[in-house]
Amino acid sequence: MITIQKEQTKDGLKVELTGAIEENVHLEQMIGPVKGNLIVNCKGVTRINSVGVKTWMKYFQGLKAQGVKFTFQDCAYPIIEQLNMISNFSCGGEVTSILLPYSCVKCQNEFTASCSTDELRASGLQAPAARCEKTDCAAQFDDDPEEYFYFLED
Amino acid sequence: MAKEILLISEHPEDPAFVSEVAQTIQAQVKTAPDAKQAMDLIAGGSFSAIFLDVSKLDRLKAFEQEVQKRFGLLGEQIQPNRMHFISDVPLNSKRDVIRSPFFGSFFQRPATAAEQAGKFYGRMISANENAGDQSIERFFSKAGEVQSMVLDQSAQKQEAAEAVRQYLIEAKIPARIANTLANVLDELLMNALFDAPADEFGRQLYTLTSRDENRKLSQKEVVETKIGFDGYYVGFSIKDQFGTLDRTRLLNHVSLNYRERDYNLRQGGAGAGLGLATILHTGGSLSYHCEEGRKTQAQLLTRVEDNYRDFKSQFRFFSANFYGA
Repeated sequence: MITIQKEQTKDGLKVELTGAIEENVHLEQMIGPVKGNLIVNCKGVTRINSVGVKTWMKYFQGLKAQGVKFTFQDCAYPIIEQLNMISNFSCGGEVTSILLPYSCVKCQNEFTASCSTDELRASGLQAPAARCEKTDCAAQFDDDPEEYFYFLED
Repeated sequence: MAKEILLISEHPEDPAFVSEVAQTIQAQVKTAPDAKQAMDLIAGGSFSAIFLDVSKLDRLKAFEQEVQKRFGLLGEQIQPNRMHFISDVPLNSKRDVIRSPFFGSFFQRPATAAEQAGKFYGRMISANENAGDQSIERFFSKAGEVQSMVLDQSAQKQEAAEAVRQYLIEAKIPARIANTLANVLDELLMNALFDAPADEFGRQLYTLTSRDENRKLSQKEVVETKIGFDGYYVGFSIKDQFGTLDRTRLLNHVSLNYRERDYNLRQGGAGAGLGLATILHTGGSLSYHCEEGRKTQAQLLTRVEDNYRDFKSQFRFFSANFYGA
């Protein structure tokens, strides 16, 4: 089940999604009317199942048809996987930043770091170096970069 | 009489892999470089598994032609359930292979750790012999534990997926791998709960039913789930009692690629038609065993790794075995 935190900012309605996007998630009801732009923060999304994907696309395709501009921030790996698997998953929304997964080479600690998609493109889709928060050791990017950044390729 | 397996390949890496499989299932290996020479061996023996290199399409075509020439396409010497296709690319880029009437199991040649992959594959073959309900128990028979859950309400799917996620996290499996496996279980359960049930005429009963509607399951609709873990491998087995899985539909789904074309929202059903694509995208090995009108058993086996990168790049296979009524 997902929880949604909402905040109306000067840039538009900002919503933060946390949890699993499944069949019992009704984004239209949970987010409510959108005045201005919609900024969707996805850092807390733990997984999304196939019915969740359908719900997601139905909702954002509907918003697009209404002329609402929406952006996705801090997309966690379940969202990245869908962006890479389904060519039209973003429904025309802009992905402004994503979470990069790392694991410590020493203690295997998993952690993520946010990175803007502009920065990633400028770096030629290279994950920046990172250090483990626990051991201060070098951490390795914990995915196949070619796969993970596929949706950012031109 | 000792079990025998046949390898039809000229690829230098295949004998080592198949030899590990043979050792694990206690079988002897016979080798043929091409389809023509393989037919003599097939005519004179009974192989419990046939491994065929299909990296190049003409090798598969030559095999099909030779079978037709020697035994006819309906000959019983070649059963898809005993065929194991070896390739150097993933399954979703081998559409011609998926369409073969001999398609049974498929794997991409392991890039590293062929010995470990061969042992794993052998364990899988051994566990699935005799097509029984106990394959997960057999896979984890030497070590590890298998737990069972019986779902008698459709809404228990989410609780089951969450319980498995928690169990894996408590077993110190990286959170991303645990979340991925919980999602796979979710998809397999959704198929068993909503796509499998059919009436006596084979009409699906719940394709239009909203997936968030809780439904008390009849005795026939009850779904059995088993989870095995031995510290190195995790396995799920999800069994329905209908046996309605359609071979062609399943294999068509395997070859779908929504990177190449847009996904269109389904108008005519409550499902998304994305479940299998989601499962195949993970690091797990998936096998279906369908006995028409009796049961479909979906099974996921995967090695757990210390990090997601290794988990995703691990050796994996796909199997689709069908048995008539």
